[in-house]
Amino acid sequence: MNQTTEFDAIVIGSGITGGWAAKELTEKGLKVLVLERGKPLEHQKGYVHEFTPPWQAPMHGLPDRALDAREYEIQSKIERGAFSWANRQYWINDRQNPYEQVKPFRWHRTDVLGGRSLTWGRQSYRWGPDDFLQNQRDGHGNDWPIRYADLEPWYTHVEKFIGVSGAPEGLENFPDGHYLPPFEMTALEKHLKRTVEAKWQDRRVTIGRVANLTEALDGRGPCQRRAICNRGCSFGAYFSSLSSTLPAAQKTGLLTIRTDSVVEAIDVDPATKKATGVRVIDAKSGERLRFGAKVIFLNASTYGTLQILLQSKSAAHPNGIGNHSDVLGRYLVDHAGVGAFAEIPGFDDRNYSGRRPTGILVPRFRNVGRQDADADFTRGYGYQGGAMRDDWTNTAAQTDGFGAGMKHQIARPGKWIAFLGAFCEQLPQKDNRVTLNENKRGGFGLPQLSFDVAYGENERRMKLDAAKQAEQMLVAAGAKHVVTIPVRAIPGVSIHEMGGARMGHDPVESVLNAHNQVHGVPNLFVTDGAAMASSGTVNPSLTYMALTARAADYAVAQLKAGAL
Amino acid sequence: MKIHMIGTGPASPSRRAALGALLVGVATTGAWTSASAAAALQAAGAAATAGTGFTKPELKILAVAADAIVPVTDTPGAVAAGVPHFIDALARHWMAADELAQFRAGLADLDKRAQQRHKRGFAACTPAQATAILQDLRASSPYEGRTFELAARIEDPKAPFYLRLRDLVVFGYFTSEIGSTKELRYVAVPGRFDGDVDVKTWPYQNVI
Repeated sequence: MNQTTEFDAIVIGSGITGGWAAKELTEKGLKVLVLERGKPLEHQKGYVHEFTPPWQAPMHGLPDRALDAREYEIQSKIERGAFSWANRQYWINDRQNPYEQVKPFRWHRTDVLGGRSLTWGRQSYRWGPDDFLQNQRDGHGNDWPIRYADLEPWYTHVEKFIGVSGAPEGLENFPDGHYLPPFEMTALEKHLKRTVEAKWQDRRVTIGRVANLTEALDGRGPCQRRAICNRGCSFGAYFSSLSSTLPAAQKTGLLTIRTDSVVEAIDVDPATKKATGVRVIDAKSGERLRFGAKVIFLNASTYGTLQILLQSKSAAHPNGIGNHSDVLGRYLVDHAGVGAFAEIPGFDDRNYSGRRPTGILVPRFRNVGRQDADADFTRGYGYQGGAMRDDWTNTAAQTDGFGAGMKHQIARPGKWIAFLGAFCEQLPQKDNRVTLNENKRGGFGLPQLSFDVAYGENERRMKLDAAKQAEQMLVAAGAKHVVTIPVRAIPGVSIHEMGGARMGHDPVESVLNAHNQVHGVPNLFVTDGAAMASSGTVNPSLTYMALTARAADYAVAQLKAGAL
Repeated sequence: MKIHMIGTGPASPSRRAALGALLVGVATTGAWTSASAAAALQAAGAAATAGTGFTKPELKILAVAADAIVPVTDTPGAVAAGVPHFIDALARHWMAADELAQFRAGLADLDKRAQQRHKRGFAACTPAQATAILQDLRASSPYEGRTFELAARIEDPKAPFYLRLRDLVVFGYFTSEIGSTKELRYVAVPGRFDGDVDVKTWPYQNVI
């Protein structure tokens, strides 16, 4: 095994948090190596289908069913259109990278530089003070070792750099941030907002807070209102590692990026109890390499990170790093979902032009600060949705007619449809976990990750309530008939996976401390979704970024003080 | 009629060059309009399609059916938009064997119905005759499934031939260059979003 150049820090993963770790650590003067398991991808030049119009798409954009079934069996099932002919090359090959499903589970992952920062939904919300207190209050999960106040300045730091458009609302548990001008609501969304806020004083309808630049920022953007973000954006108008953090890190001259580098394990010196380096398999040559560093940031995405920790076995860590009390891989959480939509009449004279890369959001209103008398579940949910006019694909699918009249009708703006999709907090449960199956080998001969995850009774009840409340709001806005549909029903589909190496005060019941250091391995930091001790009700990426920037600041201070 | 298919367009050197020039323009001037985007995309171009999967007689039946389903109005119809060639490409590269067999049998059935009713092949039918045959077929082709998306219905094995034909023609047309730009108003780079406008000022969809 080759021992190659020493770095001050190694960052494993180049996605949302890996990019942030690279930026913060290099800007504070550290020489950093970023290891990415996937292929290289160049900003702008790599987005090969970005400008392809429908008539130039393969089969005009119909899914390549044979290819998808053979090579992308899991990835091609992503909801909300995040997988398509235009970005298939960013996603992992499922045939070559199998995993075990004890219960049905969708592991959606990319295999390219920039990771899922390229394909993410860009929704960027601060967690509220209550989100960090609930575990302590109701006893589900362990107490978070940090509070909102600990993260508040880091949320600001992150928002100012990535650029988030949104509207302030002045709600205590849905904190406002540092925002660029919001996108405009449609006529029906404005109506929904008015009716819901008039009928329920504790409910709010706001525009989605999204990491798309409504104004140019530091040489990026502005957003061109194309809403094809997950193909990649040559304007750099949404936040991704490729458009934002990695270029910033590169500017310092201290960054080295190595793609096609599959991390097998992290080495820990039993004498010093510190991580000494990273063992890597070169994805192209199969060669095994080793890289050393003083500090390691593990940002391989929740399950990737857990797999690496579980694989990092040694005499001192026989079950993997951070796993001396069998907590590693447990308490996985995500967002369960349910959706409701309805046609709402009365707005045929209104339309919108351009394509908005966000929707609307209803912040959590259930069990806020106290248990609602009529709620048979604990915690709560928020909604994300929108109210738009049907396009030709919807209108055409609602009939079987043909001829000149149909041609004309299909091409006009269709019926107004309002949709609300709930994001239900999942309670942390010990039995929701991943393990390694040493008897089944996956990509690069490494053991397969095995998923044993299910939603529970509380999530089931919450979904029923979310469907009911959504229906009431849509009816209040004028709907005659509301259709409830299952969305994100299979665990994993929300792609908001969290936990498995949760933060906590107690080294016995948690893997990471308040600064995202692995208990007992002080120079190893985990700052992606694996660190989360609960799921909240809003999208988690902004919180990961804030945690990463905060941990990087702490790590560099500790390093300079000689403590690492 | 040109139709742009697999392996054309996106990665071609001319298109990349045009795109590069465009982005340089953006970086230096900040000006980016839908007009300049359209011009660049046109300059980028795309190559022509390959051969045929259906027989010539089958393609003629398909052409008459396609123009009955999406006829010429104040905008061009399905044939002008290259829809028969689009479905032909699907037959060669996309349909499963049983789907293709169903489709071929359906085309043959159209021909049989035309012979019985009008004593001529379907390809020789007038638009009115073709329309009458398709209306009959529509009435006798119940659909048991339910989807909210055209692309999902196109893949539904429960869809009868009539619906498959109709949906493929509609899909092919509204994703063609003519359908996207003459009947719909495809805008590659809108540049702005106005959330609440009078439909009279923008009576169009905002297609991707």
